[in-house]
Amino acid sequence: MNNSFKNLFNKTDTIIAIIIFAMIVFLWNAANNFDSVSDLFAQNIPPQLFPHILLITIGLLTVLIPFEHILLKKSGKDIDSGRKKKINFATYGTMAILLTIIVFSEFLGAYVTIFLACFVLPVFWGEKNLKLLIPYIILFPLFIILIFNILLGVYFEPGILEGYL
Amino acid sequence: MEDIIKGLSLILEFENIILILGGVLIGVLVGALPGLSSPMAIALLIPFTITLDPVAAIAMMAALYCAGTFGGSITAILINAPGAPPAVATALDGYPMAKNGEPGRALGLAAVSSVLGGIFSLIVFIFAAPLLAQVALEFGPQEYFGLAIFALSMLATMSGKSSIRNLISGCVGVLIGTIGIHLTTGVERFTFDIPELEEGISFVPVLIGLFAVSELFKQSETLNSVVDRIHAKALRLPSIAELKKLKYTILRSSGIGTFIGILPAEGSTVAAIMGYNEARRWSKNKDQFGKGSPEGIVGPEAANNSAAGGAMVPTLALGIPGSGSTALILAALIMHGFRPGPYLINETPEFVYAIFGAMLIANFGFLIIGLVGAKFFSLVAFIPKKLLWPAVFIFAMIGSYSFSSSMFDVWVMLTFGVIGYFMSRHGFSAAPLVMGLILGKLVEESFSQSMIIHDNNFFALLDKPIVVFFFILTFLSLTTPLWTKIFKKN
Repeated sequence: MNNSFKNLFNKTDTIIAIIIFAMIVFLWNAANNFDSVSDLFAQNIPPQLFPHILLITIGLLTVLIPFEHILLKKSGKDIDSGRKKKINFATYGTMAILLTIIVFSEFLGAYVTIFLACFVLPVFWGEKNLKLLIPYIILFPLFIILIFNILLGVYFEPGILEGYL
Repeated sequence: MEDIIKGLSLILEFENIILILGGVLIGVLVGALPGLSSPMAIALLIPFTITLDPVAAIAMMAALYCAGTFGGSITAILINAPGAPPAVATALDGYPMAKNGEPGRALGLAAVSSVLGGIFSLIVFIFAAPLLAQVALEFGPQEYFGLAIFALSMLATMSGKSSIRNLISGCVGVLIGTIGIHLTTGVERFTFDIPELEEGISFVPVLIGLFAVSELFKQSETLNSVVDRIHAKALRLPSIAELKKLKYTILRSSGIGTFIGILPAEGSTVAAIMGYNEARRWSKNKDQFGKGSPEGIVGPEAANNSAAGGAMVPTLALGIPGSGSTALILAALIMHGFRPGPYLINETPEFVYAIFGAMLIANFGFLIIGLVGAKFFSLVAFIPKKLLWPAVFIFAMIGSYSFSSSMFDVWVMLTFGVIGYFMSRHGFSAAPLVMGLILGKLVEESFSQSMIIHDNNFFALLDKPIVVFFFILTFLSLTTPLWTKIFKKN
């Protein structure tokens, strides 16, 4: 494959286009498996018609993505500028922490979850100023509970604190 | 006239005034905090305002929207970091003026021009919205389909680097809107046997995920960034003589901003940049631009704030959002049981005038709050990110959960947070997806009804001159880059 042909495609965008196409195929198939209704009942607008139109439109636009970098470069934009830097550990770690907090939130209940989030995230991100951290961990959750639970009446699941509250 | 008085008396109730001022305070705070944005704050506010009276809830959001645009200019001027994207152009001359030892003057010019721009657009709003609604009353499903397609095509130029990716995001938003039971046939679509999906994905967790949680992931990349601040003791209002010198710049920018705001999907950022460029083009002191020119501050500020009022015109009169923030206000209106569009203005005009009143109060509110609290707001940008963003996550979680007391919504929020983060990394903006999601129902309904009326003959739509007009606009909007190139060459 010669270089000029290779330069036509942006590698990352080609992968993105392939992922989008895979999703289009999956959703197209899912749309084909919608329950069927008689034409008379559907008034000639079957339930899969509109999703199909959208999937075709998305597909047609996606074809352009791998080559878009050429057009953008001409207008002085670099599509790769925002993604040149690798995603850092803190971001993946944050995603994992949020996932863990949400997984356990039903068991722990809202009160403990709020305290946990106020403690785990700043500590994971490296906040070392205890003069800030300790009041924050104690006072902010209490403020949230006061505003939302007590004043606004939002129901907080007690979780493991059931029986103590 | 009676409706105007009714609307204004609704908004002048004590509780509503307090909520509007609360919205202004949140708006200025959020605007001043880099990373936090008005759409994010509105998304977080929606679930908590759902139990409020609709007038109070929408007024609070409208006030937040107005004030958020101004709040961004505080940090743009004092730390050269626009708290919100519309303040990008303000930093170009605001920061140099502050560095030259006049931070109070820069803030004062920004505040006054924002208020004047806001009032200008509200005057246009009060006249244009009912007129537009009157025209739209004649619209049938075909015309609405044409209008919705035009609005979706405008997403191409909305924000971000790439028009193609914006359009894909918009279409994905419309596609997400198809999840759930199909209204015409009762068939379940894309529910994958998950009972919670039968009613479709609710707006709130999607909005919170895309605007708040994805931003949290972005901010986790720059937790240790340090900024320098210029100390501002107080905001200094410009003199009448100075305002007289700047009147044409303010007026021109207000006109530009209002017009840009009225266009579907074109927001305050585009207006601010155009306002700045035009201020420079018409200025007699072009060489002062970039060095602290007053025109370089009032130009973008009047434009970005007038765009906020302008964007409310298509939102309320047609049900087509004029910007990302108004898309969220539109979602809130729908959740409160309203049908935004001509019927809203014709059947409950007092409600529309109440929103107008709320925005008017908000404009004066942020001037007063800015005067009193400029020093404080310049400090909020220094709240450590490591403490600010866990708080945002807690608000996001409670907001998503409390809307329908469902953990499923919290999962939807997290999922869209992750999706939003990767979308943004690869040049796909969240705002077009949200607009697509909100417009989706209108697009499909009007499309289906048009097809039923015309017996599945798509070309019969072209018999309607208004539809043809919208299709021509759609074509022009999609081919804008081409026209721009041709004009530039010539």
